[in-house]
Amino acid sequence: MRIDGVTSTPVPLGAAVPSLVRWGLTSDADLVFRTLVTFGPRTERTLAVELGLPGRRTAEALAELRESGAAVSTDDSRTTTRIWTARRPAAVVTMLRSRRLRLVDAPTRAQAHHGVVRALKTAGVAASLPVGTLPGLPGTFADDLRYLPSRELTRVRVAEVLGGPIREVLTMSNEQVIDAASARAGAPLDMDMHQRGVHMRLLAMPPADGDPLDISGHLINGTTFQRRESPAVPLKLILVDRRLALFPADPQDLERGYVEAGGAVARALTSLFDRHWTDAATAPQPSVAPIVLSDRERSLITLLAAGHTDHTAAQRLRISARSVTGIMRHLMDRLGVENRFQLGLALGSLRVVAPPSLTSDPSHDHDPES
Amino acid sequence: MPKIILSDRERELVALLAQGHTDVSAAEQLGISARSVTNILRSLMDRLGVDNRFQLGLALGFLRKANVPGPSVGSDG
Repeated sequence: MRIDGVTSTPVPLGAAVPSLVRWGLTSDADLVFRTLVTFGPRTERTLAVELGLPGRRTAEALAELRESGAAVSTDDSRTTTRIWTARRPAAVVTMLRSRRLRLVDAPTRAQAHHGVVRALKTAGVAASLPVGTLPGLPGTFADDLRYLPSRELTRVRVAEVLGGPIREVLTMSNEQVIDAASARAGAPLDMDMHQRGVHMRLLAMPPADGDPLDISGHLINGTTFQRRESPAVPLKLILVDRRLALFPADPQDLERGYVEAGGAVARALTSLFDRHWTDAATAPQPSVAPIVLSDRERSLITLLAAGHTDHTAAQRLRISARSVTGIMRHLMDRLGVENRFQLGLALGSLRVVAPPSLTSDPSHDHDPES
Repeated sequence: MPKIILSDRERELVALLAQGHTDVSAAEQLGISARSVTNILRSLMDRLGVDNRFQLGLALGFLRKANVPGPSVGSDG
């Protein structure tokens, strides 16, 4: 069957279909898409009946699928006779992925990098630093400036510096995709520094595909390791103890090595880092989506927040303990969390409810880290 | 008034649990025993004047001590 150039090829029953929810579609749209993929083309009405989905929700799901290009319909004038067909899941995922891509292209990155170098030159900090070309010869080419002419030499130098008795490493990364090789090379070093109590700060671009899963997940965002995101990271940069800086000699080709700088250049780049770090902090932090609770959910949450157990809360609300579990399970699904601790965190940070032990006096929140 | 300045250890543990770790996997990650995890949380609950994990989450969330990785995090803005 062919509609609008889309051939319907039903997948075998029970075959895995990627979730569209991950790419920002609603779960209704995902369900309808799954049904179309698995059972073949159908009308809106058939879908609604088969899925037991109210007509309005079915229509909205289909509209969403059409808008995102995941499904097409015949163009009958009457909506009831239109037949809907899903596109191939793989093609849909590719489409949705590229739709969410927020790639910064290489020339833009290079421009930002050259901008920083030019500023260092005009400020008189590094008159001999070349802009747009490489330093002539490997090795020291000016006071406090040294050219490491290959990526491999840089790697060796970085390992040597970071393996030494250092206290702090500041890193800026303008890469949105971390290649496996650098991740493999970096992880053990990071872990080692973490063990030694070296303070690490990483300022990175948001991941290219908008996937919120943290790729630097081998370290916990905590006290000695902190990661912040900024959409405008000007250059790739490593700063050690605020006295040594390493940045690519050619932002468009990392194979051409790095420049190692000390003295005034390192100080200038450190203050650049500090500025960007502070800006990234004041940007709105990622938070949980707002949620509207039903009356029943709100009463239950209020009781549990006050210290009721599931059992006593159920008695109070005249519902079964099983219903309490169900309501909580449903809330956890809506907020995308897996346990009660996380649910508490989410509801607490949304200011839905606070445990009675906490006064609403905000002056108690003195922690300098937060 | 609850004491709300977390120690490094507490902060790391809370960050792990917020990511969905279990007590056991968080303990492994931190190189401590599951019993220590329980004790750290117990002392936190005492300090915050709460009785269970849900309330502990609420309190920490309310005080903005941790972020939950929810589906909306980093949403297209």
